Amino acid sequence: MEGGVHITSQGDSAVRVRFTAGDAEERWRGVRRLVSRLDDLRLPAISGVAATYDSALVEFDSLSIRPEDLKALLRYVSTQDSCTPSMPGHEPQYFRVPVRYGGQWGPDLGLVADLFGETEEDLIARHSAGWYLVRCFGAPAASPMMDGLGDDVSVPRRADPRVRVPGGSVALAGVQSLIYSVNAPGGWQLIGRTPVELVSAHRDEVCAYRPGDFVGYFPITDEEWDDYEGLTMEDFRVERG
Amino acid sequence: MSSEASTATVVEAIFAALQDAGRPAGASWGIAANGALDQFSYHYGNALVGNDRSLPSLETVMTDLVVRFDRAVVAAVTGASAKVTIGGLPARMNQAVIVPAGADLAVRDIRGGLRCYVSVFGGFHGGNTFLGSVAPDRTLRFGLDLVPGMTLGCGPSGRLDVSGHEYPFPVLDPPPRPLLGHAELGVLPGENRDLFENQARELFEDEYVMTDKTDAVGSRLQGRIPRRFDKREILSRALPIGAIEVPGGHELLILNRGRGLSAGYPVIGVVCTSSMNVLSQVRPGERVRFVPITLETARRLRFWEAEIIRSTRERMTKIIDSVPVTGP
Repeated sequence: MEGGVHITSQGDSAVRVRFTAGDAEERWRGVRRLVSRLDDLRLPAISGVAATYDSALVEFDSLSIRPEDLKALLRYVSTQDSCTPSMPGHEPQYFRVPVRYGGQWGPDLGLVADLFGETEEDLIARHSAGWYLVRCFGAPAASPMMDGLGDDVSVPRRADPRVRVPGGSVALAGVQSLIYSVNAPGGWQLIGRTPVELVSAHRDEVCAYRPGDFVGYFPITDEEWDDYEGLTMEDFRVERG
Repeated sequence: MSSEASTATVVEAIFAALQDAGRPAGASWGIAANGALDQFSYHYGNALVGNDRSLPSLETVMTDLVVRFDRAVVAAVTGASAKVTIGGLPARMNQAVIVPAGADLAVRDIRGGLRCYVSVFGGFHGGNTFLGSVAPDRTLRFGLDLVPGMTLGCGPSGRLDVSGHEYPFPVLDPPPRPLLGHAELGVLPGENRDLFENQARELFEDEYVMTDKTDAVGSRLQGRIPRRFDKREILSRALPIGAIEVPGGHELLILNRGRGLSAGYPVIGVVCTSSMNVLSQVRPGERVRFVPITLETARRLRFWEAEIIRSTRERMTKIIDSVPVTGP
């Protein structure tokens, strides 16, 4: 380990760059800075970079670069003194999306409200009042993984994960939150669901949001659901409110 | 030279789809690579038909596939051993063959593996692309599953005058893989093996049996499960294709090309890129053995595959270029 960056082979076609210095926020910023620099470099040997909270998995073509050369390059790129602003990349975008809270849409709302020692109404008010920073893309496909409702309460995962969580489910686990982009199995606690389409394989852009953007929510009723169905995240982009 | 579109009609298909190498760039978007699980056989099929770069092929899994072409095409079947016929007559795998206009190319009775690839000169065309690839992504309900009666574009076949001729293209069965035995998978160290007793070395001491719980996302195997002593939570991170996870319970999970990108289970090893092609052909009930290898060995295996594809492509491109061309 050197310069707060730990670089390891992950099989013969991927290398992990893990940031180990500073707090969680600084590590995440290190990851985003690396992603941004690799975006600028556009090395043909690197096929993709899957970034999460404190690490980035760099996938490469082992026919065109040796892992030791790639590691040396990644060390250089990761530890170079930052002459860019602390949050590189694009200007953050804001999205405020409709959510039907509770009931069949968010069957775990009561449980989560209890954990926070609040009524369901208070929890809805609290959840829909905040902005949640998108930290990375997660599973399933391109789901936005975000900060949760605060660091003071860690929401336990379900002991027996659901076989099928519907796409659009707004979920909490640990101190994180997530919107399931598509139907998938999962163990997070579900507090509501949005009718908004998050990802599509049929548009040029997979999704409208990026790590570094913010997502907020507003509650809707059953009757309003149909008004929003079929709309996409892009339709809910707002000026910071 | 004729430029008329040529079509292929699906006559029989059950678990078959239009397939290519996948979308490796998807990782940056949280999107799985997907693509042919047996990348070697996919690229090898393209090399055999003289495509100078790999174009979409048809992949069929464990089930028969029959396709009919409206014009003569140069085709090849690669992957698991199967009974191949053209117009009812036996034909070879791993050889470029001419399928006459109106004749059925049938791949039946897939044995000694799970999946076969049908490649044609000029590739198959149809359906949409997503991040530059036609490869199915089941989580996004994307992809073109083949159903009887469906027609796909293919070719250009107009370039070749293959009607009424027989060209003895060489049979090019790929040589046996070096360095590892038939049912051996090369494994590189996993980043969480320290959380297991004995550094999870049990992985290399016994055989594992493939279960029927295997798909593009992952393959589950039964056998000795290394014992984890450190149960601390692992922060979600992206895992490579080939990661051997221990989710708890009595099975190992090996992540395939359709994996969700982030996960929190510990990883005890990573199956090397070349051995993932071997794994993709292991049938439920068959046994495999994991063998610890070095990065250098993994690299040699990968270069061995690439060299076979390259030399075959070069040779077949030359042969097919020498075939007379129709028209002025």
